[in-house]
Amino acid sequence: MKNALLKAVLSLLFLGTLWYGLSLVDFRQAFEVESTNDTTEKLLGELIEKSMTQGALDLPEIVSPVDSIVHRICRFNSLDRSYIKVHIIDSEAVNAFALPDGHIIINSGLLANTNQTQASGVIAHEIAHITQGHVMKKLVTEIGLSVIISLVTGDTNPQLLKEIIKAISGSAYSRNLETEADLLAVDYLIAAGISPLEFADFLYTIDGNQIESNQLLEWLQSHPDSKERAKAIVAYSNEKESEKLSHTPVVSKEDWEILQSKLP
Amino acid sequence: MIQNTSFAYTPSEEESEKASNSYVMSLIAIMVGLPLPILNLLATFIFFLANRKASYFVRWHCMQALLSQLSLLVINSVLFWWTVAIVFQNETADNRYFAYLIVALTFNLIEFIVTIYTAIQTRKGKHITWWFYSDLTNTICKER
Repeated sequence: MKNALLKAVLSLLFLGTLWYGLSLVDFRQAFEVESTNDTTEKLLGELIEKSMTQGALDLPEIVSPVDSIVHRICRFNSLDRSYIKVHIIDSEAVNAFALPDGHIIINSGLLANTNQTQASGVIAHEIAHITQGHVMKKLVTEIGLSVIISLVTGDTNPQLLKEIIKAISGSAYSRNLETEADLLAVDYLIAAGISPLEFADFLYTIDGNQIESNQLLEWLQSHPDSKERAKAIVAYSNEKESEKLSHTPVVSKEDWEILQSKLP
Repeated sequence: MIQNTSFAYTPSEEESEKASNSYVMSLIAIMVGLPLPILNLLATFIFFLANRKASYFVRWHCMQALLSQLSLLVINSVLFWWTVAIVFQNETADNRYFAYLIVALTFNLIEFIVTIYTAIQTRKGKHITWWFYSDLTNTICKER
Protein backbone atom coordinates (compact mmCIF):
# COMPACT_ATOMS: atom_id res chain seq x y z
CA MET A 1 0.00 0.00 0.00
CA LYS A 2 2.83 2.34 0.87
CA ASN A 3 4.38 1.67 -2.51
CA ALA A 4 1.11 2.42 -4.28
CA LEU A 5 0.62 5.68 -2.39
CA LEU A 6 4.15 6.81 -3.11
CA LYS A 7 3.74 6.02 -6.79
CA ALA A 8 0.36 7.80 -6.84
CA VAL A 9 1.95 10.95 -5.42
CA LEU A 10 4.85 10.72 -7.88
CA SER A 11 2.43 10.26 -10.79
CA LEU A 12 0.36 13.26 -9.74
CA LEU A 13 3.48 15.35 -9.33
CA PHE A 14 4.71 14.30 -12.74
CA LEU A 15 1.40 15.02 -14.48
CA GLY A 16 1.02 18.30 -12.62
CA THR A 17 4.51 19.42 -13.58
CA LEU A 18 3.94 18.42 -17.17
CA TRP A 19 0.66 20.36 -17.26
CA TYR A 20 2.25 23.40 -15.68
CA GLY A 21 5.22 23.30 -18.04
CA LEU A 22 3.02 23.00 -21.10
CA SER A 23 0.72 25.79 -19.92
CA LEU A 24 3.68 28.18 -20.17
CA VAL A 25 3.63 27.67 -23.93
CA ASP A 26 1.52 30.27 -25.75
CA PHE A 27 -0.76 27.86 -27.59
CA ARG A 28 -3.29 30.58 -28.37
CA GLN A 29 -0.69 32.36 -30.45
CA ALA A 30 0.68 29.15 -31.95
CA PHE A 31 -2.78 28.01 -33.04
CA GLU A 32 -3.73 31.58 -34.01
CA VAL A 33 -6.89 31.20 -31.94
CA GLU A 34 -7.68 34.91 -31.75
CA SER A 35 -7.21 35.61 -35.43
CA THR A 36 -9.14 32.48 -36.46
CA ASN A 37 -12.03 33.46 -34.18
CA ASP A 38 -11.96 37.02 -35.49
CA THR A 39 -11.82 35.93 -39.12
CA THR A 40 -14.68 33.48 -38.70
CA GLU A 41 -16.81 36.09 -36.99
CA LYS A 42 -15.99 38.75 -39.60
CA LEU A 43 -16.83 36.47 -42.52
CA LEU A 44 -20.02 35.30 -40.89
CA GLY A 45 -21.02 38.87 -40.08
CA GLU A 46 -20.49 39.90 -43.69
CA LEU A 47 -22.48 36.97 -45.06
CA ILE A 48 -25.44 37.57 -42.78
CA GLU A 49 -25.37 41.34 -43.15
CA LYS A 50 -25.47 41.05 -46.95
CA SER A 51 -28.42 38.74 -46.70
CA MET A 52 -30.44 40.80 -44.21
CA THR A 53 -29.77 44.42 -45.02
CA GLN A 54 -30.68 44.74 -48.65
CA GLY A 55 -33.00 47.70 -48.77
CA ALA A 56 -31.98 48.97 -45.36
CA LEU A 57 -33.48 52.36 -44.55
CA ASP A 58 -31.00 55.14 -45.21
CA LEU A 59 -32.93 58.39 -44.85
CA PRO A 60 -30.79 60.78 -42.79
CA GLU A 61 -33.84 61.66 -40.65
CA ILE A 62 -34.03 58.00 -39.62
CA VAL A 63 -30.36 57.06 -39.51
CA SER A 64 -28.95 60.15 -37.83
CA PRO A 65 -30.86 60.02 -34.49
CA VAL A 66 -30.10 56.31 -34.10
CA ASP A 67 -26.48 56.98 -34.97
CA SER A 68 -26.36 59.70 -32.32
CA ILE A 69 -27.61 57.27 -29.69
CA VAL A 70 -25.01 54.67 -30.64
CA HIS A 71 -22.31 57.31 -30.72
CA ARG A 72 -23.22 58.61 -27.22
CA ILE A 73 -23.25 55.11 -25.72
CA CYS A 74 -19.91 54.21 -27.32
CA ARG A 75 -18.24 57.51 -26.46
CA PHE A 76 -19.13 57.45 -22.77
CA ASN A 77 -18.20 53.80 -22.40
CA SER A 78 -14.94 53.91 -24.35
CA LEU A 79 -16.24 51.47 -26.93
CA ASP A 80 -14.94 51.35 -30.48
CA ARG A 81 -17.70 53.15 -32.40
CA SER A 82 -16.36 51.97 -35.75
CA TYR A 83 -16.91 48.33 -34.72
CA ILE A 84 -20.66 48.83 -34.10
CA LYS A 85 -22.52 48.93 -37.41
CA VAL A 86 -26.24 49.67 -37.16
CA HIS A 87 -28.73 48.82 -39.90
CA ILE A 88 -32.37 49.84 -39.80
CA ILE A 89 -34.61 47.58 -41.83
CA ASP A 90 -38.21 47.93 -42.83
CA SER A 91 -40.03 45.43 -40.68
CA GLU A 92 -43.17 45.84 -38.60
CA ALA A 93 -41.86 43.42 -36.01
CA VAL A 94 -40.79 45.10 -32.79
CA ASN A 95 -37.31 43.69 -32.54
CA ALA A 96 -33.60 44.36 -32.68
CA PHE A 97 -30.75 41.88 -32.65
CA ALA A 98 -26.99 41.68 -32.83
CA LEU A 99 -25.11 39.89 -35.58
CA PRO A 100 -21.52 38.67 -35.62
CA ASP A 101 -18.80 41.24 -36.21
CA GLY A 102 -20.57 44.12 -34.48
CA HIS A 103 -23.64 44.47 -36.68
CA ILE A 104 -26.95 45.46 -35.11
CA ILE A 105 -30.23 45.15 -36.94
CA ILE A 106 -33.04 47.42 -35.73
CA ASN A 107 -36.51 46.89 -37.13
CA SER A 108 -38.51 49.99 -38.03
CA GLY A 109 -41.30 48.48 -35.94
CA LEU A 110 -39.19 48.94 -32.83
CA LEU A 111 -38.45 52.58 -33.59
CA ALA A 112 -42.11 53.22 -34.35
CA ASN A 113 -43.21 51.87 -30.98
CA THR A 114 -40.63 53.31 -28.62
CA ASN A 115 -39.41 56.69 -27.52
CA GLN A 116 -35.74 57.52 -27.87
CA THR A 117 -34.88 56.52 -24.30
CA GLN A 118 -36.53 53.14 -24.66
CA ALA A 119 -34.82 52.62 -28.01
CA SER A 120 -31.51 53.62 -26.39
CA GLY A 121 -32.04 50.86 -23.85
CA VAL A 122 -32.58 48.26 -26.54
CA ILE A 123 -29.55 49.50 -28.47
CA ALA A 124 -27.39 49.43 -25.33
CA HIS A 125 -28.56 45.88 -24.68
CA GLU A 126 -27.57 44.75 -28.18
CA ILE A 127 -24.22 46.53 -27.87
CA ALA A 128 -23.65 44.63 -24.63
CA HIS A 129 -24.28 41.32 -26.44
CA ILE A 130 -21.63 42.35 -28.97
CA THR A 131 -18.98 43.54 -26.50
CA GLN A 132 -19.37 40.38 -24.41
CA GLY A 133 -19.08 38.04 -27.39
CA HIS A 134 -22.55 36.55 -26.86
CA VAL A 135 -23.48 36.37 -30.53
CA MET A 136 -20.88 33.81 -31.55
CA LYS A 137 -21.43 31.87 -28.31
CA LYS A 138 -25.11 31.58 -29.12
CA LEU A 139 -24.47 30.54 -32.71
CA VAL A 140 -21.90 27.92 -31.75
CA THR A 141 -24.32 26.53 -29.17
CA GLU A 142 -27.31 26.42 -31.49
CA ILE A 143 -25.79 25.71 -34.86
CA GLY A 144 -22.47 24.11 -34.06
CA LEU A 145 -18.94 25.17 -34.71
CA SER A 146 -18.27 22.86 -37.63
CA VAL A 147 -21.33 24.11 -39.45
CA ILE A 148 -20.30 27.72 -38.99
CA ILE A 149 -16.80 26.98 -40.23
CA SER A 150 -18.15 25.21 -43.30
CA LEU A 151 -20.30 28.24 -44.07
CA VAL A 152 -17.47 30.75 -43.89
CA THR A 153 -15.09 28.53 -45.82
CA GLY A 154 -17.28 28.33 -48.87
CA ASP A 155 -20.27 26.10 -48.34
CA THR A 156 -22.75 28.92 -49.01
CA ASN A 157 -25.78 26.79 -48.49
CA PRO A 158 -28.77 29.18 -48.48
CA GLN A 159 -30.71 26.91 -46.15
CA LEU A 160 -27.84 26.96 -43.69
CA LEU A 161 -27.71 30.75 -43.81
CA LYS A 162 -31.46 30.87 -43.14
CA GLU A 163 -30.98 28.63 -40.10
CA ILE A 164 -28.30 30.94 -38.79
CA ILE A 165 -30.43 34.04 -39.34
CA LYS A 166 -33.33 32.31 -37.63
CA ALA A 167 -31.07 31.42 -34.70
CA ILE A 168 -29.88 34.99 -34.38
CA SER A 169 -33.18 36.78 -34.77
CA GLY A 170 -35.77 34.33 -33.59
CA SER A 171 -34.36 32.47 -30.63
CA ALA A 172 -33.35 33.63 -27.21
CA TYR A 173 -29.96 33.84 -25.61
CA SER A 174 -29.51 31.83 -22.44
CA ARG A 175 -30.82 33.44 -19.29
CA ASN A 176 -27.26 34.11 -18.08
CA LEU A 177 -26.30 35.93 -21.24
CA GLU A 178 -29.50 37.99 -21.28
CA THR A 179 -29.02 39.01 -17.67
CA GLU A 180 -25.41 39.92 -18.35
CA ALA A 181 -26.43 42.04 -21.35
CA ASP A 182 -29.25 43.72 -19.39
CA LEU A 183 -27.05 44.73 -16.48
CA LEU A 184 -24.22 45.86 -18.73
CA ALA A 185 -26.74 47.88 -20.76
CA VAL A 186 -27.74 49.65 -17.54
CA ASP A 187 -24.09 50.51 -16.92
CA TYR A 188 -23.71 51.76 -20.48
CA LEU A 189 -26.86 53.89 -20.26
CA ILE A 190 -25.96 55.43 -16.92
CA ALA A 191 -22.47 56.29 -18.18
CA ALA A 192 -24.05 57.88 -21.26
CA GLY A 193 -26.46 59.92 -19.15
CA ILE A 194 -29.54 58.00 -20.33
CA SER A 195 -32.12 56.70 -17.89
CA PRO A 196 -32.26 52.91 -17.82
CA LEU A 197 -35.70 52.86 -16.21
CA GLU A 198 -37.56 53.54 -19.43
CA PHE A 199 -35.88 50.47 -20.92
CA ALA A 200 -37.30 48.50 -17.99
CA ASP A 201 -40.73 50.09 -18.60
CA PHE A 202 -40.55 49.03 -22.22
CA LEU A 203 -39.77 45.44 -21.26
CA TYR A 204 -42.48 45.45 -18.62
CA THR A 205 -45.22 46.62 -20.91
CA ILE A 206 -44.09 44.67 -23.94
CA ASP A 207 -46.82 42.10 -23.49
CA GLY A 208 -48.69 44.30 -25.75
CA ASN A 209 -51.11 46.75 -24.30
CA GLN A 210 -50.39 49.11 -27.11
CA ILE A 211 -48.54 47.02 -29.62
CA GLU A 212 -50.16 44.53 -31.94
CA SER A 213 -49.45 40.95 -30.94
CA ASN A 214 -48.20 39.92 -34.40
CA GLN A 215 -45.57 42.66 -34.22
CA LEU A 216 -44.45 41.33 -30.87
CA LEU A 217 -44.10 37.69 -31.79
CA GLU A 218 -40.47 37.94 -32.85
CA TRP A 219 -39.61 39.95 -29.75
CA LEU A 220 -41.26 37.51 -27.38
CA GLN A 221 -39.53 34.55 -29.02
CA SER A 222 -36.13 36.12 -28.84
CA HIS A 223 -36.55 37.95 -25.51
CA PRO A 224 -38.56 35.79 -23.13
CA ASP A 225 -39.21 36.64 -19.48
CA SER A 226 -39.44 40.36 -20.24
CA LYS A 227 -41.16 41.17 -16.95
CA GLU A 228 -38.54 39.39 -14.86
CA ARG A 229 -35.82 41.16 -16.80
CA ALA A 230 -37.53 44.50 -16.22
CA LYS A 231 -37.57 43.88 -12.48
CA ALA A 232 -33.89 42.97 -12.51
CA ILE A 233 -33.05 46.12 -14.45
CA VAL A 234 -35.01 48.30 -12.04
CA ALA A 235 -33.34 46.65 -9.04
CA TYR A 236 -29.88 47.10 -10.53
CA SER A 237 -30.62 50.69 -11.55
CA ASN A 238 -31.74 51.47 -8.01
CA GLU A 239 -28.52 49.97 -6.68
CA LYS A 240 -26.64 52.32 -8.97
CA GLU A 241 -28.95 55.15 -7.82
CA SER A 242 -29.58 56.03 -11.42
CA GLU A 243 -32.42 58.36 -10.51
CA LYS A 244 -30.00 60.69 -8.77
CA LEU A 245 -27.84 61.00 -11.88
CA SER A 246 -28.57 63.50 -14.59
CA HIS A 247 -30.15 62.25 -17.75
CA THR A 248 -30.15 64.20 -20.98
CA PRO A 249 -31.91 63.20 -24.16
CA VAL A 250 -29.61 62.30 -27.02
CA VAL A 251 -31.80 63.87 -29.69
CA SER A 252 -34.66 66.31 -29.37
CA LYS A 253 -38.22 65.10 -29.08
CA GLU A 254 -38.96 66.72 -32.42
CA ASP A 255 -36.18 64.87 -34.19
CA TRP A 256 -37.46 61.58 -32.82
CA GLU A 257 -40.97 62.39 -34.00
CA ILE A 258 -39.59 63.20 -37.42
CA LEU A 259 -37.79 59.88 -37.44
CA GLN A 260 -41.00 58.08 -36.63
CA SER A 261 -42.90 59.99 -39.28
CA LYS A 262 -40.35 58.99 -41.90
CA LEU A 263 -40.58 55.28 -41.14
CA PRO A 264 -42.37 53.27 -43.84
CA MET B 1 6.32 1.55 -16.80
CA ILE B 2 5.17 -1.95 -17.68
CA GLN B 3 6.91 -5.15 -16.67
CA ASN B 4 6.67 -8.77 -17.61
CA THR B 5 6.89 -10.53 -14.27
CA SER B 6 6.04 -13.96 -13.01
CA PHE B 7 2.68 -14.70 -11.47
CA ALA B 8 1.86 -16.94 -8.50
CA TYR B 9 1.12 -19.77 -10.95
CA THR B 10 1.03 -20.44 -14.69
CA PRO B 11 -2.44 -19.59 -15.97
CA SER B 12 -4.40 -21.88 -18.25
CA GLU B 13 -5.41 -21.03 -21.83
CA GLU B 14 -8.92 -20.13 -20.72
CA GLU B 15 -7.69 -17.92 -17.91
CA SER B 16 -5.31 -16.13 -20.25
CA GLU B 17 -8.11 -15.47 -22.68
CA LYS B 18 -10.45 -14.08 -20.02
CA ALA B 19 -7.72 -11.92 -18.49
CA SER B 20 -6.83 -10.55 -21.91
CA ASN B 21 -10.49 -9.78 -22.59
CA SER B 22 -10.63 -7.44 -19.60
CA TYR B 23 -8.21 -5.14 -21.44
CA VAL B 24 -10.05 -5.61 -24.72
CA MET B 25 -13.29 -4.45 -23.03
CA SER B 26 -11.89 -0.96 -22.52
CA LEU B 27 -10.68 -0.86 -26.11
CA ILE B 28 -14.05 -1.80 -27.55
CA ALA B 29 -15.73 1.04 -25.69
CA ILE B 30 -12.97 3.52 -26.52
CA MET B 31 -14.58 5.00 -29.61
CA VAL B 32 -17.63 5.91 -27.56
CA GLY B 33 -15.65 6.42 -24.41
CA LEU B 34 -13.60 9.36 -25.60
CA PRO B 35 -16.45 11.88 -25.53
CA LEU B 36 -18.24 10.00 -22.73
CA PRO B 37 -15.58 8.92 -20.24
CA ILE B 38 -17.86 6.78 -18.11
CA LEU B 39 -18.62 4.20 -20.81
CA ASN B 40 -15.13 2.71 -20.86
CA LEU B 41 -15.25 2.34 -17.12
CA LEU B 42 -18.71 0.79 -17.21
CA ALA B 43 -17.68 -1.81 -19.79
CA THR B 44 -14.61 -2.77 -17.77
CA PHE B 45 -16.57 -2.77 -14.52
CA ILE B 46 -19.29 -5.04 -15.93
CA PHE B 47 -16.62 -7.45 -17.13
CA PHE B 48 -15.01 -7.33 -13.68
CA LEU B 49 -18.34 -8.12 -12.02
CA ALA B 50 -18.96 -11.00 -14.40
CA ASN B 51 -15.56 -12.46 -13.46
CA ARG B 52 -15.42 -11.70 -9.75
CA LYS B 53 -15.55 -15.41 -8.92
CA ALA B 54 -13.01 -16.36 -11.55
CA SER B 55 -9.42 -17.46 -10.88
CA TYR B 56 -6.82 -15.21 -9.29
CA PHE B 57 -5.06 -14.47 -12.59
CA VAL B 58 -8.32 -13.35 -14.23
CA ARG B 59 -9.44 -11.31 -11.22
CA TRP B 60 -6.05 -9.67 -10.92
CA HIS B 61 -5.99 -8.45 -14.50
CA CYS B 62 -9.65 -7.40 -14.40
CA MET B 63 -8.79 -5.26 -11.40
CA GLN B 64 -5.71 -3.74 -13.04
CA ALA B 65 -7.77 -2.88 -16.14
CA LEU B 66 -10.54 -1.41 -13.97
CA LEU B 67 -8.19 0.73 -11.92
CA SER B 68 -6.54 2.15 -15.04
CA GLN B 69 -9.96 3.01 -16.45
CA LEU B 70 -10.87 4.77 -13.21
CA SER B 71 -7.93 7.12 -13.52
CA LEU B 72 -8.79 7.72 -17.17
CA LEU B 73 -12.34 8.57 -16.13
CA VAL B 74 -11.11 11.31 -13.85
CA ILE B 75 -8.72 12.78 -16.42
CA ASN B 76 -11.18 12.60 -19.31
CA SER B 77 -14.13 13.88 -17.28
CA VAL B 78 -12.22 17.04 -16.37
CA LEU B 79 -11.39 17.54 -20.03
CA PHE B 80 -14.96 16.88 -21.16
CA TRP B 81 -16.62 19.30 -18.73
CA TRP B 82 -13.94 21.94 -19.28
CA THR B 83 -14.64 21.74 -23.03
CA VAL B 84 -18.40 21.98 -22.40
CA ALA B 85 -17.82 25.07 -20.27
CA ILE B 86 -15.78 26.67 -23.06
CA VAL B 87 -18.32 25.91 -25.76
CA PHE B 88 -21.53 26.59 -23.86
CA GLN B 89 -20.58 28.98 -21.08
CA ASN B 90 -18.25 31.88 -20.47
CA GLU B 91 -14.97 30.00 -20.20
CA THR B 92 -12.25 30.70 -22.78
CA ALA B 93 -9.83 28.21 -24.29
CA ASP B 94 -6.67 29.50 -22.64
CA ASN B 95 -3.15 28.04 -22.55
CA ARG B 96 -3.95 25.97 -19.44
CA TYR B 97 -6.79 24.29 -21.32
CA PHE B 98 -4.61 23.47 -24.33
CA ALA B 99 -1.87 22.18 -22.01
CA TYR B 100 -4.39 19.94 -20.21
CA LEU B 101 -5.76 18.77 -23.54
CA ILE B 102 -2.29 17.69 -24.63
CA VAL B 103 -1.57 15.93 -21.33
CA ALA B 104 -4.94 14.14 -21.40
CA LEU B 105 -4.61 13.06 -25.02
CA THR B 106 -1.05 11.85 -24.41
CA PHE B 107 -2.20 9.90 -21.35
CA ASN B 108 -5.03 8.34 -23.36
CA LEU B 109 -2.68 7.44 -26.19
CA ILE B 110 -0.12 5.83 -23.88
CA GLU B 111 -2.92 3.95 -22.09
CA PHE B 112 -4.28 2.76 -25.44
CA ILE B 113 -0.93 1.44 -26.62
CA VAL B 114 -0.10 -0.16 -23.30
CA THR B 115 -3.57 -1.77 -23.11
CA ILE B 116 -3.17 -3.34 -26.54
CA TYR B 117 0.28 -4.63 -25.66
CA THR B 118 -0.94 -5.99 -22.34
CA ALA B 119 -3.96 -7.65 -23.96
CA ILE B 120 -1.67 -9.45 -26.43
CA GLN B 121 0.88 -10.52 -23.81
CA THR B 122 -1.77 -11.60 -21.28
CA ARG B 123 -3.40 -13.71 -23.98
CA LYS B 124 -0.08 -15.57 -24.18
CA GLY B 125 -0.24 -16.24 -20.47
CA LYS B 126 2.31 -13.62 -19.46
CA HIS B 127 1.80 -11.50 -16.35
CA ILE B 128 2.16 -7.83 -17.27
CA THR B 129 2.26 -5.37 -14.40
CA TRP B 130 1.75 -1.64 -14.82
CA TRP B 131 3.62 0.95 -12.76
CA PHE B 132 1.47 2.07 -9.82
CA TYR B 133 -1.66 0.16 -10.95
CA SER B 134 -0.08 -3.23 -10.16
CA ASP B 135 0.79 -2.13 -6.62
CA LEU B 136 -2.78 -0.99 -6.05
CA THR B 137 -4.11 -4.21 -7.58
CA ASN B 138 -1.86 -6.29 -5.33
CA THR B 139 -3.32 -4.46 -2.34
CA ILE B 140 -6.94 -4.88 -3.36
CA CYS B 141 -7.00 -8.23 -5.10
CA LYS B 142 -5.87 -11.22 -2.99
CA GLU B 143 -5.46 -14.86 -3.81
CA ARG B 144 -8.29 -16.88 -2.24
